[in-house]
Amino acid sequence: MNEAIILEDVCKRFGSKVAVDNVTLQVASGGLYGFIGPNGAGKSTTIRMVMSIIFPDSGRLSVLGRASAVESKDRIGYLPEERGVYRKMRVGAFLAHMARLKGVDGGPALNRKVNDWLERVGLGPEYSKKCEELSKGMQQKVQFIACVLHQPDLLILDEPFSGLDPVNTRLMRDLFLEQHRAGVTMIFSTHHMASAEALCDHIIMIHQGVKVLDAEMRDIHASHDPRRIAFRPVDDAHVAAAGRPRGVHRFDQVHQGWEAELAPDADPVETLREISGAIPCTRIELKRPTLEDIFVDIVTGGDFGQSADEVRAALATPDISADNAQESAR
Amino acid sequence: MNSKTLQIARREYTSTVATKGFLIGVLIFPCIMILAIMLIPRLISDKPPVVNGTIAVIDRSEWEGDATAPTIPDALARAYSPEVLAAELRAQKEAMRQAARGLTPAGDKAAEMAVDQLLGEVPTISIVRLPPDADVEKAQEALRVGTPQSGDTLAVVVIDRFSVRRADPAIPFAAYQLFLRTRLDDRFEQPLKAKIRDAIIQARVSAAGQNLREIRELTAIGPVDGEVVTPTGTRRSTGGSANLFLAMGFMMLLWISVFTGGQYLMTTVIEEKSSRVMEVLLSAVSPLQLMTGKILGQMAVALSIMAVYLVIGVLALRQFNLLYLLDAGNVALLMIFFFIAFVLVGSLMAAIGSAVTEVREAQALLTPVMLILIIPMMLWMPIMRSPNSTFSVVCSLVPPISPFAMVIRMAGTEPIPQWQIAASIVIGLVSVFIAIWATAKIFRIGVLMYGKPPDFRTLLRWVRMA
Repeated sequence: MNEAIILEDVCKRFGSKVAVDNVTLQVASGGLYGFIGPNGAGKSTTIRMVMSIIFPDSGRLSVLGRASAVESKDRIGYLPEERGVYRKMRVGAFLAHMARLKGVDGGPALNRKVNDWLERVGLGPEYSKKCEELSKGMQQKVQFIACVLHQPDLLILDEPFSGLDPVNTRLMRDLFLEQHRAGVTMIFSTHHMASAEALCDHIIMIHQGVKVLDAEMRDIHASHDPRRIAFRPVDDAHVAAAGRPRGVHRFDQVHQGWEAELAPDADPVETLREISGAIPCTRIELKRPTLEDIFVDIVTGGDFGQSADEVRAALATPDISADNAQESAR
Repeated sequence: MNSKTLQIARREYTSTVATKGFLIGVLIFPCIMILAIMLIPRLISDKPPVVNGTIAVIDRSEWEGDATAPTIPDALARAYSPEVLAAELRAQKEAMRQAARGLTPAGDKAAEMAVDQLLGEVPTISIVRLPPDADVEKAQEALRVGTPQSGDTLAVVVIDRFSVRRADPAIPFAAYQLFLRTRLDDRFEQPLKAKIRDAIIQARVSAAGQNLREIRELTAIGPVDGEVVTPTGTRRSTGGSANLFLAMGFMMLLWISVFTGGQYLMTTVIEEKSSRVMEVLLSAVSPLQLMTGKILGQMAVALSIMAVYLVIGVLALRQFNLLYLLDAGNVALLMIFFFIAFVLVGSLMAAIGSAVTEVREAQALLTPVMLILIIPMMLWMPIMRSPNSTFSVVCSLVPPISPFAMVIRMAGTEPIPQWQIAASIVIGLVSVFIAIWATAKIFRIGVLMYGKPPDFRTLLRWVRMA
């Protein structure tokens, strides 16, 4: 088994709205995949189809070698975007319940395992507290434990960092990476591109239900040359005085300093030299495009009819759940 | 049916039953009932105050009395003499004891007290004769002062001139006027009227030259107990009222358990949605497994409720020696109809719960369901009275009210055709399958849907859609 997940020409529509449009993709076993796109792009819908929570209108999919996740649910850990706990249930009982639903046998062995996991994330004393007594960060940890207790082969995490503070974000990331190192195939879905960029080996981008990018992270960087040079002049007046050095298309003043946009045929390294020769700088660097820049590039270059500003605004919108998108489609 | 479904059911059951709310909600009603039966007669020890006073009589009848019938004031005075009153009270108590025979255990203190409570103490009442030409207005003045216990005037009776003898046989007899003081014990007026009536009738019979005793004997028939002949012997008839209670009891048993369970089912689905634990669950189990597990779990809850009430009911029936009313076959059928009723109502409630996000939003969808299901509650009387009327038959065949109607019919007085019971069960089971099938579709779409709650049309579209 080489591919953990295979989707072939998968389509899903809600009423008149096409949520997922002919998506074909493969997720290799043991990989760490980032599944990115703005809110409402179709990420959660795709994941729900992978999880057999909803079913595609057309197309074929296979999960862990089975035709649907119904048969392999016990081998998948899934942290949905819309997640919660039974408020009145005790933490230990909740985790044991979830594990048993994932096919783990009950008994003292399970309780020990639950206890071990709680100890590991620093929630040992919370074992017999009610879930509603936990803070949101603690609840997130409990939910994460619920998806790994049964030792899954595939872990799907939908917006796992939403609502976490930086300390807990780091803790959760370490836990994810530990699972990844143990050989678990991981899919990490988010609209927050920077976190995907920092974490994933492979990126699948989806926009308006269509897959727009599917590549290794290092290939993405290699194929997207830096086209901008960021610098901080000793004095802003030097920029105006420098005119337009060779290879520079135009200068933009940005939040902290300036950026030079390269002319279409300019060589980045040559231009860097030109600028540093013309303008005394305290700092100058070749600016690698971020995943977000790449995404904006792809979308504005495609036939989605959106301007770069519209796309950036869509990426910056606070969380609206995918369900609202379904709701409006009804 | 697999271990996941059972795990869902197990959690559903324990998390519902092991809460204070459940224990209080389910047990408080029987506890109050038992307390009421056992304690209340003991608690109400302050009996109403004894009546003490006079009755003023203005006799205008011109009946002067003879050997068999005294004058009306004299007759009243005799009727209100302490010996006669005490004898009356004894007789009434005995009659009540007879009526309660078989319903309460012999020597039951509570029952004795209830009888005492009902009858009160022997009043002290004297008769004051006013002249026939006395002013009625003035006599009434006495009613406006004093209290019913202080020996003041309690009532003024004015016997009409033509109440004993009439001038013309074509004209009906006249009667009497009665003026009462305010705040009189309600056990005063009726006996007074009866005594005046007796005195006037006595006088009339005597004036007409008839023998009152003879007439009384001619018109009296002693009490008769009906006996019901059963295959195993005979027993005293209870006049059908016990059957009535049994039918009502069966219906209530079914209703309370089905609705409590159904309500829990709806609220736990809503809770799983609003706490967003739903999708976490769906990552482990299919919507159908989840729904089946929840229905099974809450069915066990409803069964527990029913068992509690059934045990209390059986104990109560035994207490009143009415255990013979219960029929093992009927209880078995009750279980079958419970299953049908619970799955029908439960899946409706689960569907409603899955479609909304808050309990408040469920009300709009719940109202029509409740309106349909209240029908058997409202119509249990006509169904009970004539279990084989067309109306009753139709009610007992149309789900979802059929199980309730059938249970009432079964406990009714007439035997009902076996084929109708069979038909009701078959139709019920078919509708159970349809209900689960439709609910599964609504459930699968509804559980992941947040936002505006759908109306019934939308729910029907979901059924057709998936």
